[in-house]
Amino acid sequence: MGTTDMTKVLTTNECSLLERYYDGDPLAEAEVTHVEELLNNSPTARVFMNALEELTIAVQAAEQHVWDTSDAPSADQVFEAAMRAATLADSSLEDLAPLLERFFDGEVVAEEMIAVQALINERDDVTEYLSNLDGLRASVRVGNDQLVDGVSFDRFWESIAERIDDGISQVEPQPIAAAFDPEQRVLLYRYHDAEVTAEERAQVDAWVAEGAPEVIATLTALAELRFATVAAIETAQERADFTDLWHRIEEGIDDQVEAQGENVVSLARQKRERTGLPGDSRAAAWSAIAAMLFVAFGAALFKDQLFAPTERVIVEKTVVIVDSVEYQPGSSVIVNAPMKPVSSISAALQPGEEAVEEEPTVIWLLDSAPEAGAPSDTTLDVQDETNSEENTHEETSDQPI
Amino acid sequence: MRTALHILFTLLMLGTLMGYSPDVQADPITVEVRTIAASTEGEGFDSRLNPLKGQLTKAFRGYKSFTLEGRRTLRLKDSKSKSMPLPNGSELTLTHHGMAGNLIKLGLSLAGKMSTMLRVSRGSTFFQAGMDYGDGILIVAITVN
Repeated sequence: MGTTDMTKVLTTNECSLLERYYDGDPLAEAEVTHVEELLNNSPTARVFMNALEELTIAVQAAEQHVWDTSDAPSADQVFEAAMRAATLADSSLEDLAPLLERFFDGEVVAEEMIAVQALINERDDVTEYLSNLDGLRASVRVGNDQLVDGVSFDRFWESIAERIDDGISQVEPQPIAAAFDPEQRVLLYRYHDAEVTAEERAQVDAWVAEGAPEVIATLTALAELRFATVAAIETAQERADFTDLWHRIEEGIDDQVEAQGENVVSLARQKRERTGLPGDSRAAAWSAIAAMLFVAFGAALFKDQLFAPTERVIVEKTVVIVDSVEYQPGSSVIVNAPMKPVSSISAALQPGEEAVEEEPTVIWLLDSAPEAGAPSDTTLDVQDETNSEENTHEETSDQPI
Repeated sequence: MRTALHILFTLLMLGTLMGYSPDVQADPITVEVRTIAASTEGEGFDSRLNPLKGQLTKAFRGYKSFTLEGRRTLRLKDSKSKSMPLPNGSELTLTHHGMAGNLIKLGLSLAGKMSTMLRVSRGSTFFQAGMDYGDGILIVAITVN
């Protein structure tokens, strides 16, 4: 490497090399030699190196200044916050919800921050509420990531950021800029989100009426950001299906509510009921109607068999009905059977009724006088008898039996 | 409209199927015939007649002795008859006359002596008695299945 021209302006590579040397980055031996040659022979290089040292000192001083002038709460503020926390400790979760949501969004002032932190340590429901908000945000983020995945915004965000930066840079410094502390910035965020009290709103309106440039720039930037967000969501909506996302959010909400043991109607179920039957369910409904008609027709056609078990009961019992008897002259026939009309059989034998062994049917054929055991009552009318019969043997004798 | 037509068509088909009742012949029946000698003399009850003991002792109170003389099972198709000789030389003829509702129409005749028509349910037993046999009478126990 040759001798460096002392009057030469440093190139970008040389500046980078000096910066790396100043930062203590590992350099090759040739690079170290070149840096030392620059520092020995080039005043410009030495000035550059001194500037780096000055810049380091300035940064450290600025950092210290920031720490010194940071928004650390005073003892009075801590006392006031503690008092407020004590007051809020008895408030219902519903009353605390706006404050907790602002806390969750990072939009609280120092006193509110202390109060909420005290509540978190004291009340489990507050902790759970914030935890639920966190879970909900995670679900939305997951869903949003899925939605915007594959959607090309083509430097959309970059152009928005550039426009915001341009707007801020074009604003000339005004006295109010010096007094624009982080609390006021947070107030502007809350004003933009319509989360301010009437007093705070009046104050911001007064700033706007005064034409405070940083206030106007901040509000303008927030409006631009909202517009960009809405535009981005609409762009994503055109290509994405929110159904799955909403189902998961609804299920998450339902799970949380059910976990609390409250007897509530499921949000998802309510929506499904409101939206009515889906298309494919209509076919199922028609099928159900057809099935009901089928059952109705079947019952009408076979009601006697289905709902009139009397004859079946008779079959389960044993019945013998003598309809007619013919016999030769000189003989006589006696039918011995209970005198019971046919219609009474059904009434007498209801399902579940025990069988009663009655007089068996005997058809007496008498050639002369009645035999021993033959009954004296004689009839040739239609008679019947019921009796129980047990199993019989299957053996068969030779003829004649 | 199309769905309604489908339903109407389905119902018509079901109605047709339900209303169709083909002529079906009655199932064959089996008739078990047991011949029993009953006497007023002596004491004894054939153990092979135990299934009929209750009915025999109730229907034939004057008799003290019951002996199984023979046993035969006849299978009768619809409108068919079968005959068999009895121990006293008579001939028993049984005829299947089909069904009367759930009851079986059965014809019973003793050649040259009597003829009767009965309706019986499956599993039931009835008796024909009175013909002289030995020192007592002949009882014919008929069980329809």
